[in-house]
Amino acid sequence: MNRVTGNLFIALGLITVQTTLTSSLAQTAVPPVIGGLQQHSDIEPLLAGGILLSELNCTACHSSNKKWLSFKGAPDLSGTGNRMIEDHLKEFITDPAGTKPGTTMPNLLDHLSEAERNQTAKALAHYLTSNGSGSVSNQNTASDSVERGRVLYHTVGCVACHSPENPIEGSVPLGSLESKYTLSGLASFLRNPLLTRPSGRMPDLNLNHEEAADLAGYLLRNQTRQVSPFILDVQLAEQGRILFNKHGCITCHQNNSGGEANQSIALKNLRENEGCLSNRKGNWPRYALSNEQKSDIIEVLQNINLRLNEEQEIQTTLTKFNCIACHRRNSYGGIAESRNEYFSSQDPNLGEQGRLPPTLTGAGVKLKPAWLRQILVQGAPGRNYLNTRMPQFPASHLERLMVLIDQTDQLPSVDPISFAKINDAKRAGRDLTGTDGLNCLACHTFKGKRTGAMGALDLTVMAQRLQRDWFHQYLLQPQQFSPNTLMPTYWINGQSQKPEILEGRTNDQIEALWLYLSEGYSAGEPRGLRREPMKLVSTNSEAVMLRRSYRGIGKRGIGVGYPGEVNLVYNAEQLCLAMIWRGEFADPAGVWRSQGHGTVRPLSRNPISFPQMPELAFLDRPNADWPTVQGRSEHYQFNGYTLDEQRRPTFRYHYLNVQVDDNFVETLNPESGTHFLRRTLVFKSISPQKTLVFRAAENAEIIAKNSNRFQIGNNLRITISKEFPAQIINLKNSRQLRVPIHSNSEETSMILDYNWEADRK
Amino acid sequence: MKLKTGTLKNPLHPPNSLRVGLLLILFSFTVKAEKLAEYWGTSEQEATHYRIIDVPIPDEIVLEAGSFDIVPDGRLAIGTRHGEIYLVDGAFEDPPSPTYHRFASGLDEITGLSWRDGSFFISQQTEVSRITDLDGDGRADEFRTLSDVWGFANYHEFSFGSKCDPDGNICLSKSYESLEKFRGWALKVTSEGETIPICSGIRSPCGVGPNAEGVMFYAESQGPWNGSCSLKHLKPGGFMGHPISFNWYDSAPNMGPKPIEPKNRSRMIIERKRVPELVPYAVVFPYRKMGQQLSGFDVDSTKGAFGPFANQMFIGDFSLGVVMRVTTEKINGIWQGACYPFREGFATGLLAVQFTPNGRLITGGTNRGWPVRGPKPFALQRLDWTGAVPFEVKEINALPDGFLLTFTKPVDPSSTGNPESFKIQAYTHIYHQGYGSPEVDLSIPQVQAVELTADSTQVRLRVNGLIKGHVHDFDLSALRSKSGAPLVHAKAYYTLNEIPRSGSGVE
Repeated sequence: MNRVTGNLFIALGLITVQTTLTSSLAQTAVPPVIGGLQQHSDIEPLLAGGILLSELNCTACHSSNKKWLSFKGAPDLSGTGNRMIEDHLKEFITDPAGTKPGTTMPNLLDHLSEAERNQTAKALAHYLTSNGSGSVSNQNTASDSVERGRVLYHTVGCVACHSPENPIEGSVPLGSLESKYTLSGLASFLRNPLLTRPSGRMPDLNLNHEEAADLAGYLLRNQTRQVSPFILDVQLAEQGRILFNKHGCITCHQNNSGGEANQSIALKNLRENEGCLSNRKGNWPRYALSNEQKSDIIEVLQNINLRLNEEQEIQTTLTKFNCIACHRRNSYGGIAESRNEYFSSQDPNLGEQGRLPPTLTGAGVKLKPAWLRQILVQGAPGRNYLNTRMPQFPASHLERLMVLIDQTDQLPSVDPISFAKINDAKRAGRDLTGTDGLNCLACHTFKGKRTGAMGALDLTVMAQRLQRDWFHQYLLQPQQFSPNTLMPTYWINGQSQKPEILEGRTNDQIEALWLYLSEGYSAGEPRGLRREPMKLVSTNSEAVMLRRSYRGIGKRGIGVGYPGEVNLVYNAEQLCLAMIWRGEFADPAGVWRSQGHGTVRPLSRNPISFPQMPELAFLDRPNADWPTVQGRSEHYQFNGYTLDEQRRPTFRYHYLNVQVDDNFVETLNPESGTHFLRRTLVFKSISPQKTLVFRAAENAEIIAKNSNRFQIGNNLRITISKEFPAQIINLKNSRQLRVPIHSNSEETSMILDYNWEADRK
Repeated sequence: MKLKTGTLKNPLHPPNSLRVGLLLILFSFTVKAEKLAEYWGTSEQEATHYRIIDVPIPDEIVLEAGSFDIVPDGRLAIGTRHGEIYLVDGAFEDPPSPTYHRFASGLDEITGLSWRDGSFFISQQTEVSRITDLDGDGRADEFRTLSDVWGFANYHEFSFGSKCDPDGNICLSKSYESLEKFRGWALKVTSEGETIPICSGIRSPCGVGPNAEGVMFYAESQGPWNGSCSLKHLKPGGFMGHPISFNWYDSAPNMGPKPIEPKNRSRMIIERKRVPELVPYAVVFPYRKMGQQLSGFDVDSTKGAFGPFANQMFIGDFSLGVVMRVTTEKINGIWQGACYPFREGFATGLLAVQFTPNGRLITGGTNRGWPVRGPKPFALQRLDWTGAVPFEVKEINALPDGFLLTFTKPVDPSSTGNPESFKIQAYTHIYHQGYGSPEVDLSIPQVQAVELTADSTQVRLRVNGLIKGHVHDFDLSALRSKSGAPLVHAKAYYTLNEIPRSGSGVE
């Protein structure tokens, strides 16, 4: 648009303002829907009027110094082109209430001729769509994603305000999302709604990327039209930018148009039947107000200097943000009958309390202010069993509410209680929490771990959430504070059920619990916290390994569980086979839980252990004393291992200049159908000066069954390659099975089979 | 195994000209079970600049990350306390869409991980190992022991290793008792298995690596001979302050004679003069105010992709699940510097942090075994800069007569005139055998003059009453930016081991 026609266009617009006509808009259009006002008609007209002035952004033009009337603001339109469809914008701007019945967006072009209105809307829509990277994409959503989105929509809290698939009257309208949003645009809006709607009326439901995509896919499930690529018309966009400022859009909508907000007559000077409140068309926003809405607004104008009391202020804020769709405070608000069925629980055992968001009655004396703030602004761990999510709101809008709730609610204070030894009191609190005490674990989780059938609020966040005075009084009479709760009192008529703890003194017991829970995540675990057993076993025909501390072996144990239910531990410090057993491999809880300072426990009642000292030594003669070493010998150095395809290790070490490869493989005994361990030792670079001796076993009872088969104790039979004649050496208290390794070649192999005696039977 | 000319040799790996560095610490990981400190209360503001993004973990994986690296194909490598190495695709994407591949398993707790020359060089509790996938099937099949010279006396002896550096691998070891070899020591391990003792006197480290200048530091814990947690310079030949490790000087002839014992119930600044080998804490993290168990750290080498703190160190805390910033400078030959709060609210106790090639900070850890603020048993989270520059003290430098404060944004000149804007306290800790220390010898240095640079981003403070050796604790809560905003974090802590000589300071 060039300058001349632009001016002409504006001039025409001004002429049209003069031709005022009575509009039929108010009679036909659906009045603007304010979620909090729809569901609760019991609010005073004055408060309802004030809420309308704020929610309809009246005070954006008609300034007022009353904080409770401050305007909410409208969506931030920078980046519109990233999410919205140009055609929809044009239709919507032309006739907001006709395109989206119930919208709070007024018609700003009603006073223009149809041709001008269309041209203006076209230019505005083009300008707005030109804001953004323009890289909108639209793809069809998979049906399982739509289905997940449908479930999310009906469970996480969307239908607290918006209509479920079975329509509920008075819901905050969504309009035709299919014609408004691209899939990616809606998904990114849902992921972070506060970015484009900083008013927080559409709060942040903590949807992750996948959830936002599913939800968007569901909401756009009927979208068929492909979005045509945006083609920029620079002149049209510039025309739109000028019109954006001219028509005062910038007054409510932030963007980068560079315009300034319109200011009209101050609120206190408004007249009841003029401008927006009249039925006439003119150069002002046109709202489809109902007669009741109009009269509520007039109520405020007539009482403009009235000051709200604190509870009225709280009610007003709870209504604006529609907190009352889910919560009740005193007799105000609460879940509408028609929406009740959409509140569900992950833990039906918790009953109504596990399904319904908590009451806000007395929230100021119940919750610590920092926790309340965290819940509202950042999200807080807590009622994970509710499917409905507590959304997050912008802090700046709720500062006053947090102060008011804190100041307004009252509860008698509980006198300080002191203990001679505070650690004794904490211990008593821990005893009360555990299964031998009041067994709080039956219902509550502890550090996220569930012991009983229920997963009620975690005990380790209680003191972070709650105020001490409330804690004391709640424990005595839970039902008084929370009518839905399943929490019983353990001090019926003030009498303790556990007289053996702190001599049964009720207040001392509750204080002890408080002190113990005040340790938060640092609190020691109470008795009875159940832990799932842990098991590590070989899977997929592959061996499983765990290098950790094993009892009697020390820190450098390498446990291996083979397929076929044979297992061993290798001692990588003493360089020897340390232990073998049959059955499943191991319970790693001792090293994978807590500080990990325990040991890995073989899953066998009778593992066979070997002496924890090197198996190789150079001796002057085969029956010489076996060298004893305190601790580690410098002559041995573990070098690691390689794994074969089935993840079975070949251990490697050096003894002086001898390199040893030590491999174990599970081998099937076809007679018994069970497996034994076959060990292959490969020695390289044996020095010929002395006799290298391998110690195969040490036991009080070693019997030669034949030349190469030996019975070791009651359970083990070792068979050694025939070319390596073994000797039984008698020691003071036991016998050793020794194998001299003679070799003239560079590399020598020896095979040993470890059979469990039971295999023969 | 005996030491020959100050080194330990692994016969499998004869020395050659290639030297690959990896720094390893052996120590005992001891956090006293005491009540955890409150948060700083700054997360709301922090979140507008740095967002914590969850990187999803499949249900079947227990991912207690103890160490990270980035492999050449761009994947994130994670070494865990369970003893597994995972390679993760898609962790740096927005949103994260990770796929996990298990490269190795069955190992001891992995607290150091580094990719080099086609292998992982890892520090696990029992040894430094080189791990290779020889057959190229995506799973490791060769596990070579490079060094395992240290022993174990009791359960809470851990080892922590650095990434490979261009010169050498270092290994630190520690226990209260030092009954076993090299407990309480830092060792350097080369890729050939050469093991060289470099420092004694370590108490309980967790996290070891270089600063931006490539100088090795480690994170030390509060406890005996350590009044508070600190970052310490691993000066070769140095004594880090805990004398119980003196047992092993005979096994480390390259370290020279055993130092004289420091006096109990003294001060670091006094004992430094008596014990020449004693290296003072470079940056003290006042206990509870700045974490309770420092852990892994990494240098922001992303050239601004992570915001205005390029080349600074970012360090995690296990107990409180927070990330803090650190700046270091060498004054009169001694390393010192400052620490600053940065981001709180991580879901678990942090053990390791790692900058990604696209300028994000990966964090991971566990809340297992010791008191931890974060509620999750383990978590992998990413810190993304939103692009909005926070108003922060970027760096504090020592000057001969005060401090130079550099800010990320211009400061409101009128607020610098407010004497409340630059409040400083100075204090130190008792250097003694007892566990931890209160803050002692408190004084209030007086700001005599405040000069603002022309661009309003730097403030030069002339201070009367600087105390050598003391932490200078800054409270800048009254300071405002040009746009009237307070600092996201009004606190900073400078450890003034040395005061620059006139003419040598930053001008």
